[in-house]
Amino acid sequence: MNADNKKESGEVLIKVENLCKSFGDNVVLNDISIDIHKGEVISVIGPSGCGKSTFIRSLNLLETPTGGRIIFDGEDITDRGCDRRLVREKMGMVFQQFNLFDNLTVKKNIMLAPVKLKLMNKSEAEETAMKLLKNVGLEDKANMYPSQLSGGQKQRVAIARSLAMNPKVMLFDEPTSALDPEMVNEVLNIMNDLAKKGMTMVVVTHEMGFAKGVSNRVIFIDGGKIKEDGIPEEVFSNPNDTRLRDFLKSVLK
Amino acid sequence: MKKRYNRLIAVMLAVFAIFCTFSVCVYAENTDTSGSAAESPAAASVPETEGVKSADDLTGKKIGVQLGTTGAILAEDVKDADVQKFNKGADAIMALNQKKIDCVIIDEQTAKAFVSANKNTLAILPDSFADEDYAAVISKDRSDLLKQVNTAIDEIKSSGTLNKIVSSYIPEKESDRGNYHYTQVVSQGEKLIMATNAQFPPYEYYEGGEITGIDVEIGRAIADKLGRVLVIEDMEFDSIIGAVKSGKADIGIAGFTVTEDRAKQISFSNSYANSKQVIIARIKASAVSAAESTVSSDEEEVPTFIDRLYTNFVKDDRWKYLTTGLWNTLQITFFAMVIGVFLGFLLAIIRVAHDKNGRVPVLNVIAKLYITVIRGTPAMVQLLIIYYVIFASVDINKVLVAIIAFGLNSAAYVSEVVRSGIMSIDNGQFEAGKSLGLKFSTTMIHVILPQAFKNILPALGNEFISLLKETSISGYIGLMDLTRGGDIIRSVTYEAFIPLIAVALVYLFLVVLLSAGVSRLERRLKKNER
Repeated sequence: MNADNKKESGEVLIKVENLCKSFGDNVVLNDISIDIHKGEVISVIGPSGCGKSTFIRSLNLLETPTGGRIIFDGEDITDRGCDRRLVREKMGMVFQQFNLFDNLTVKKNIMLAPVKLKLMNKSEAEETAMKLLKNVGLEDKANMYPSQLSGGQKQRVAIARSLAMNPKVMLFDEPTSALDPEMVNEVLNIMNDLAKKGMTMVVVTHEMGFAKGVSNRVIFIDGGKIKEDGIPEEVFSNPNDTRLRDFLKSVLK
Repeated sequence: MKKRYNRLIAVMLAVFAIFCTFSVCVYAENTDTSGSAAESPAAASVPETEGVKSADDLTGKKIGVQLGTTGAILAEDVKDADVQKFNKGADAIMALNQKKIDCVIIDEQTAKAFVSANKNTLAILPDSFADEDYAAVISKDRSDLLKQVNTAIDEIKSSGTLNKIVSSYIPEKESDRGNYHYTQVVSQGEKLIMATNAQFPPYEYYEGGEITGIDVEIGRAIADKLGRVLVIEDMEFDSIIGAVKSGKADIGIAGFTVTEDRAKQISFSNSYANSKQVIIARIKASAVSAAESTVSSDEEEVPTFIDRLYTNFVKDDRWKYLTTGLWNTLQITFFAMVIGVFLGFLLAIIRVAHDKNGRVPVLNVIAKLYITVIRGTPAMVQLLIIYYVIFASVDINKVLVAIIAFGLNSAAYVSEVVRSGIMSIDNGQFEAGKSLGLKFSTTMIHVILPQAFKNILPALGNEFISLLKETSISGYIGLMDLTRGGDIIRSVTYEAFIPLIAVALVYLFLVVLLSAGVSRLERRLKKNER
């Protein structure tokens, strides 16, 4: 993968305008604006506490922005009249801690939302679940409970669960940070496959290998602002921002 | 599986064995002190008593009375006396026998019944404490009914029926006892609900599962004169006036003495009987042994433990008080649990929906208020309020009242248990549901509650156990639950030990069963996840 893969900035899928978020007096996101295009794979990097998690959680409104607008697929989702549930159906999210439903089997984890939201009937959902599990190589775990899986397996199931909703964009909030090192790759491989298939992805990550190798755009957030935004080659080889230089030095060591 | 039941049985047996050993000890002690002094010629005069020797001797003494009775009111006037109010006359007698109090002041006829059951240890002092007239009580709002009842009483008096009833229960000669019984003629039509407290022989008491006594027969005679069918409601003595005032009952006949304070609350009918408040005191131990020495040993046999079991359970089918009571206790507990769980989950979900999402603010305030009020007031007071205030003018099944009261009460506790269970679930589970576009309620039902339920099961089991035992206060609305069933047996056999232990064992058995059920469910839920 390289910069050539970057889709020609065709359609804007998510338009973020002057996004602000503060918790009390603590300003976490300070006037962030960015266009996310269809097919883009964006890595969001930055030191811990910089606001990158808050940024990605704001995109599907798990955090309610305190200022600015987010336009998703032509609709202002920060508008009061907007149904957040419909927005979230179309934005998949993968969490650092997997957050699989502990009381449901792997298969039922995947089936729950499509069936309850009446997007599929039971047998369709089951078929979809088995197909997705096959894609992430976990067909044989379909009837197991999350507690019986390893971290890497759990995260692969979590990705399959999000994909079952047929989302327009996938948000990954540090998907490999809670994994043992030997399990990181099995998850990154799945994400790599997904990127190849043209899925729009926003990935908060500490995996610089992924940021460099798979994503076609990297943004660096520091102090609640986007400090760098460009193709991986530029951002990594020729960082303008001194904070980014320090950050890269510390993570690439 | 088998192993577990074996263990359960072993525990039950062990407990039973402990109680039996204990009971034998107590029994042995009882036979020691009770002696075998029977009615000797000397017993005609009152034997020497200890503590209180005459009515002038009451100053500074511990006096036992039955709550709400005339004795209780008048005893308050005794200088420096420590007046202890018991729910039942029999409890006061028990306390006297156990030397917890010095004497009991109670109506004469009741006193005679108590003393004849304890003739070796207790005696009635020759000078009475006070004289009194018995009358029926009727709500002040119902002067027409009062007039009718007064006319009826006058007629029953002048026709001699009243005399026949009284002298059948309080005969001059023992052979005349029970030679007359008044049966109601009117069998259809409007009901006349009579509130009474069937712990007060010979005026009202249980015999063979039925409430009977002088007042009951007078009630029937009055009902006949009014052309109505008598329905008897048994309740605590101190509840009767409230029941009559609130319209729960039309008339209260329970050996009510006419007093000024009561007359402020309620109308009294013409009096139908006179009685005296007398003092019961313990016979001095020396007097007992003196009597004993003059009596030959074959005079009276000491009842064996088996005899006592027979008297308490088998005779007159008394076990039926326990089985009927048990059935009511089970019904109340089960349905109250259902209401408690349903409403409790609802309250918890409202509160969580507010705390997590800031939704339903008004419902949340209501839920919070509900939980505060219910947890902040005693269950017994709630039960009484629901029966005597909320359903005051409704003719409603008492079991249903108890189910509602205990259900509403339990819901407040269940809701906090459930809420803690929900809050213990990782927020990630909620967020995962949210991120998939699921409704809060869908996530709640399919993801959060199944996990929370598993976590709170032990606490929930705890609440069920408390609930089961708490239903023992149902007797306060005159409902015969298990505890009340035991109380009725106590009031007819004048024995505390066996009925109380029996009731305790039944509760214990139920609780052991309930906790076994809960832990079984716990194990099953655990298995599901593995």
